[in-house]
Amino acid sequence: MAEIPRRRALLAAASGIAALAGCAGSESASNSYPTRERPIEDYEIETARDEAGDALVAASETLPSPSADEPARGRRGARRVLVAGDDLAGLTFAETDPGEALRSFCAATDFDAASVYLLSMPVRACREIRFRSVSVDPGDLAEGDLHPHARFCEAYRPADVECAPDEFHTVGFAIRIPVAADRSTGSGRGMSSSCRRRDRPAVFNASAAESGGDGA
Amino acid sequence: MTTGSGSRRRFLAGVATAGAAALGGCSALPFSGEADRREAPESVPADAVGSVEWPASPFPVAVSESLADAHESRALEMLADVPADPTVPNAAVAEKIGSDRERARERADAIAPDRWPVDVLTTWRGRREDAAAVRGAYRAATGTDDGAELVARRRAVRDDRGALATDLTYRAASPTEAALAYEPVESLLARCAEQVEPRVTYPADPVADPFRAGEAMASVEGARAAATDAEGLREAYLGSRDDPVPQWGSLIAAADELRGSVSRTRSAVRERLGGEDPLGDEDLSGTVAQELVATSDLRIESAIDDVEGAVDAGDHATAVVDAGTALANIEAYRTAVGEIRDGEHREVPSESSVRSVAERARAAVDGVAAGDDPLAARLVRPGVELFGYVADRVEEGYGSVRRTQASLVYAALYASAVPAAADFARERLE
Repeated sequence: MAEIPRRRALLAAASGIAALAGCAGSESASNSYPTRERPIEDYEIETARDEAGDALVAASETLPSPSADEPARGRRGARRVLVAGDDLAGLTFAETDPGEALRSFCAATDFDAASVYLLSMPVRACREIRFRSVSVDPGDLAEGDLHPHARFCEAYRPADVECAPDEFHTVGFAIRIPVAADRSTGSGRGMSSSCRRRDRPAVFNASAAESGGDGA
Repeated sequence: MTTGSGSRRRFLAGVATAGAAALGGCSALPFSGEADRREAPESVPADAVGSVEWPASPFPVAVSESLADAHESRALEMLADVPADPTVPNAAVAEKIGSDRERARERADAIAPDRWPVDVLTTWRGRREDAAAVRGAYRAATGTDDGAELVARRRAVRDDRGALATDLTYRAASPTEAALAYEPVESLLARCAEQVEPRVTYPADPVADPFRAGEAMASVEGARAAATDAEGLREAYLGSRDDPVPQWGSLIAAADELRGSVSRTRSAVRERLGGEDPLGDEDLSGTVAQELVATSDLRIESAIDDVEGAVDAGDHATAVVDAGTALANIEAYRTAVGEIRDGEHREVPSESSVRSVAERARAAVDGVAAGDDPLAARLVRPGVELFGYVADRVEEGYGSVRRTQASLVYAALYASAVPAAADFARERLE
């Protein structure tokens, strides 16, 4: 275990997280702006959509059975942060193309160098959920605890997509974050009802840019 | 309103902010020792404020109904292009287009509010934009790409607007008439310039984002409508006056002088009253007076910003009107502080006090209307709008009674200050 913090520090430094994580841990750190979240630029993502509306993944040995009722639809949602290969063992993926796409993406992750934030959720058949951004809490990360926060927005699917407004599909997102961590005790998710809003303007911080740290 | 919708938005935001600020402060303030203070009622009856008559339109000449009729025809024509139950594979998109069409149709069929002609045109331009949005979304959803046509139309509107603006020498019978006739023209040209810009771009794949396509189409439709109205108002005025002469120089001189007057008046009033917070040593917590001061501060700031913005934009007629408005606001503030120092506006508001100040405001506005002074009528507009806003809030059951009363007091003070402010502005114009 002694190697993990060192490895984590090296990897975080390489991905530009370390400087900010350090700053967040010290109020007196100069050339930094106080922030709880650090946007991650160099993530990778796999998205999947199950048009039958079935569960894509579950943290149990079996997947929730297909059902149109509201509580069952809720159970089709899932949210997990994977920081080690063992974390995969506790998950069951649907044996469908979208389920397999998510599983193989997670399985292909080098957890010595990265983590995966895995989410699935129901969506109306004529709507889509778009990934907007992912960020981490640098303070928690400095303690080896990865708290990712992903932002999404919802929009109409293209007009030429045949769909019924009262039906539901399931969408999944596996976001590979270039940060290794010891654990994850929390995560967050934001959903905007419109994809038209722009992200908040970036903060210019020349000092941080020079130090190779904050590009936000 | 055609003339200064930005000001109205800022004002409404200001009212909300002032209320929130005052409430925030109120909650933190000690009420110890005031246990015997009567509580204000939570609301007043819906009819407690009533209504106020708008003065006659200050636009110097009659505005032909043909301008509004053209908007109506265009709106109905565009809605006729969209079926009531559109057939689109994405049923949710189809549903939304159908419901948007229905709503736009209802609005187009509604009677426009009985307001000044420039406001009626504003209403119709909005309806025309709604119709354009529905039609644009429908065409995009069904595979028609209007992107190239929109680019061409945007360019044509921009060219037409540019020609209008370039040709603006404020020809009028007098400088005061120039201010009144061309302020709405300037406002429309500004609106056109804002809407013709590609802030919402037409999507590369309109089928994928039909509602953005509709929004882009609506924006350019609004720009076209604004340019048409600007030209229509200008022609309506010029067509009714023999040998109007350019008043450009007079307007610029008056706007510059009035801008300086606003600045000096504000400084002088501050000095006379004892600084930026002349009531800072008084405990006004929880009173109408506290709300009145907050409202006054916000409105003065907003009015001065408007003057600066208009002068910087070269909108000289607007600058004159905004300066008159700012001067009336400063005078209202001066009177408000004086009345508060004299012990007024500290009583617990009640239904009868609300009715009383509503009557005071109504009388002040009626006084302006009776004066038959178009410049004063134009300047009193913010007071009439404030009254209307408060009346709407009360009718809908929103807003604190304290805030209601403070706003009505301010409307009364503002309207009372308008005739003198109009005279002052006119002296700089003529």
